[in-house]
Amino acid sequence: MRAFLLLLLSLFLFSFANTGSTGIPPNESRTVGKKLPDVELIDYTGRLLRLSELSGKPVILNPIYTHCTSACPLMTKELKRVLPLIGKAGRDFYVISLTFDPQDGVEDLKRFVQREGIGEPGWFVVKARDGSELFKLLDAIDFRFATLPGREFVHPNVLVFLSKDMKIVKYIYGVNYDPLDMRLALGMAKGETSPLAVLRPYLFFIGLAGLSLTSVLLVVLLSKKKRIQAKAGI
Amino acid sequence: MDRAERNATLLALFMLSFFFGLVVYAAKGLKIDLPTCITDVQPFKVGKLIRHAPDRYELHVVAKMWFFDMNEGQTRVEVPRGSVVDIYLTSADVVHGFHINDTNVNLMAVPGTVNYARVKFDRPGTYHVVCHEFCGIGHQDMAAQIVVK
Amino acid sequence: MRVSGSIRFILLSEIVFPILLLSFGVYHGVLQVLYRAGIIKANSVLGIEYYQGLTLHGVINAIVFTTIFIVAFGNGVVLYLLKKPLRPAVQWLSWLLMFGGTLMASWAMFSGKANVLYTFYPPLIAHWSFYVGAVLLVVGSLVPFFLDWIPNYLAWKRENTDKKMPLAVFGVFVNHILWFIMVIPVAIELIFQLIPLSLGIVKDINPLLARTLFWFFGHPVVYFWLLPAYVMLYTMLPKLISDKGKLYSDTAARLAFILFLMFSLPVGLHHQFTDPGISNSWKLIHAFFTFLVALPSMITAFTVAASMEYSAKREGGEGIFYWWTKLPYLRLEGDRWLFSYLFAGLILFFVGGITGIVNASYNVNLTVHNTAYVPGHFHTTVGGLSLLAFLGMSLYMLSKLKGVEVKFKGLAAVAPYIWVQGMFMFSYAMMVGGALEGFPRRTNTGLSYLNPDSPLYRPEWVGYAQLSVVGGFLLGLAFVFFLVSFLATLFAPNGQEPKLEFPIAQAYHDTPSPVLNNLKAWTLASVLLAVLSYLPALYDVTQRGIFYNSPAYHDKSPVPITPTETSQLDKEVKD
Repeated sequence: MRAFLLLLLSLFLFSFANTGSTGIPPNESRTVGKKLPDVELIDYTGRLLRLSELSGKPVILNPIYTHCTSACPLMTKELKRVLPLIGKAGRDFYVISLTFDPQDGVEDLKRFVQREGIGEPGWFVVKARDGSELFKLLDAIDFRFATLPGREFVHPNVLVFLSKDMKIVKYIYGVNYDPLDMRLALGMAKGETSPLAVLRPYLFFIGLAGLSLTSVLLVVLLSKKKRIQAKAGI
Repeated sequence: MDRAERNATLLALFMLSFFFGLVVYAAKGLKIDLPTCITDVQPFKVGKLIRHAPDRYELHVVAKMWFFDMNEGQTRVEVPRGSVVDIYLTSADVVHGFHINDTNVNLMAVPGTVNYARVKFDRPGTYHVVCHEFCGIGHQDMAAQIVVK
Repeated sequence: MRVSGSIRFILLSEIVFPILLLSFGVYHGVLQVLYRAGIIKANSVLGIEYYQGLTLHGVINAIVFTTIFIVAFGNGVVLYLLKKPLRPAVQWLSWLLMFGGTLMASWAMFSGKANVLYTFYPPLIAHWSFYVGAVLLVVGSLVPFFLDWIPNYLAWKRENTDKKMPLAVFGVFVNHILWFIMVIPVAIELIFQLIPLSLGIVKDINPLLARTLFWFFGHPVVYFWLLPAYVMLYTMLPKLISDKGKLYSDTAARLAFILFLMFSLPVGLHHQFTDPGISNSWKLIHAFFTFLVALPSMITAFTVAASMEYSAKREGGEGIFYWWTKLPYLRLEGDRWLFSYLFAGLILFFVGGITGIVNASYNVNLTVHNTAYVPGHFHTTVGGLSLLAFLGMSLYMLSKLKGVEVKFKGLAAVAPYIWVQGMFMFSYAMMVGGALEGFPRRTNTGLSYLNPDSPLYRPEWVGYAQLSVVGGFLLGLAFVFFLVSFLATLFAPNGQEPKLEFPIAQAYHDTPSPVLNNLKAWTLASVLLAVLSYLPALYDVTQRGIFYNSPAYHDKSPVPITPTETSQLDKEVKD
């Protein structure tokens, strides 16, 4: 019993350990489970594409900006390495590399595709049709960025997993991806649930209950010991 | 403890947990949250108002003794009604405060690090900004305006 | 209990000196409402600047006056209840440290070298003597606890193995344990950050770390001011109502003290809700503990009300409400006048406690942080119950140590009620103006925002500022009433034998409570909880995120006084 409570206490403390993200991390509690709006996108060939056209398969959404020289190429390379290990883009899932720089045009997308050597069927490199469409989508995944001098950006490095019906399922942070994590996330996007994911929104309250119960238990134990000592005349 | 005392204590506990529950609900459910730790936005040296979309702005504010640099030295900026503004705030010297009246934007500007808040301006009018942390002899003159049209 | 010789002198000076200093503090308080309302449109009056006066008001009223008085009160209670003589050597050491420190810091403040306000946030920097003075004052206030009170208690315990620690001594001990724990981080801030920076030994420091260390101290310190008042409410208030008056429950009182010891410390982040660089999850946890620390105050509200009812019924009060008429609201025989101080303080604290919940409420704090709401709130707690209890007890102890009756007793007994009226007006104006209109605190608004000739003129704040002037005037008047009585008592010829005694009431419900009396264990638990709750915050402000150190600034110039060759930020930009 006591071990269980201590476990809850440690869960409480570690549930706040941040996931090592950069920039302002998305607040997952506000987005996970929500459906994305059906925004209009333009891919690197200039073709208009609606997000809803991709429903039916899980989607991995990766926000980037095209003239990025650090994190975005790293994430893209890592995706190229890991994706074949978990399935085939276009058959098992779709991938979207979305530029969030409002000033990026189709030409910038093309250059990005050539530089990174991507663009296989099922991997879409897109921009939003205009600013308002872009921010509709970014707000839906709570993606925030800060502009630096020279049109550079500080932004979270994140993959967003969407289910078949365009609901947000899971965020994965960083620039290195573990195939196992990716497979699990993809499984969740396909509709397999894990008990941990169900519990996660309530972690704070579980932890709070754990903390309170632990302290009550400690007080009770402490008083019991004292009472025994008092009885024994120590 | 006798019964009255126990009941009073329980009542107090109940009231406090009720209030705290409401606070958590407001933070997590109604999305009214506090500034948090931003890990890698470099402190900047010039204020800037950046327009991303017709209703999307980024406002970089540098608080200095004794004015707010809101946009390359200006202390007054204009944004259209309904705009969502991401505010990044830093200080060039000592600790300053940043409070936009009639909004939930209430930030401390601490030198060497960046603070952040997002605000949506729904009502047109002039929003007054005051420095609300003592920052030296000119503290009472440190103010700025955000005009929403 | 007879007192004489150097102990009597030390106790007397520890009461008189803070009150004299407090007169300066109150004078600057009254000036401030005038400045803020634009009645004085100036940077300075009689050579003292607005922000200098604000520093004096904060440091003298909240740190110097309270600390020295609490030591005097603790000395008195321990001496009277344990009946063990105090050691003159220890007391003189403490006296020299506290008074020397106060004089050093006062010199820095009065000469305008320390216009940094009570919170002394770096990188605004004061003269080093301000910080050294603060350290000496704090060390001096701890000396009697470790070298006098604890040894005396242990000696008393050996003779009274079957008795538990008297409640008043228990409260005083809990308070000083709390004080000892909370001053450690602020001492670290002073010794490793501020003193080296003010001497120019280091060129720059991390300002956010300094803020975090300060608020580790800055919130628990309000309980350090509050607990002595609670000791008076629990042990003395019933006896002032009736000679047969009793405390309702001894266990509840001890429980309240222990809860304060536990939960006073992990709450400091609620002063930093709007700070950058600290994860808001930790802010929420500190908000949770802040709610918990409201619990002992609520228990106290019940216990004190129940004690008042019990004691008033011994005086013939009846029914559910009729006993209210038997309270000695304004009675002058004997020591009954002291009741008006504690009762008036209670009324204000009722407001203060409730408004404090607003500050603690995480996101609600966004609407009030650093607005005039905050001073509006804490003037009803520290400027309410704490101050009134301390003033009353100062006058009481003075009269006992002089061996005379209080002079101008009527004035003294009326003063707290005028104070309450003034404070209601002042706090209402500040709180409503702050919360609804964003009226800022700590600002010489008369020069800009409340000056019709200024481009920054904000007419919506005028009414609030004017109401606070009326309140401030009443507060000043109440203090003058008190001061007249205090000085007249001080300069009255010595009466009978000087002695020290307190009207200590017995408890109505009194059960043995060995768990609550185990102070050692609770102290350990409290330290553990405080450390646990602060580790992540300290990690956040030193390791996570970007933090550049900052050089020191003087309040008059935007040019750093400890310039670094190139600041870290410049270096980063070059890279």
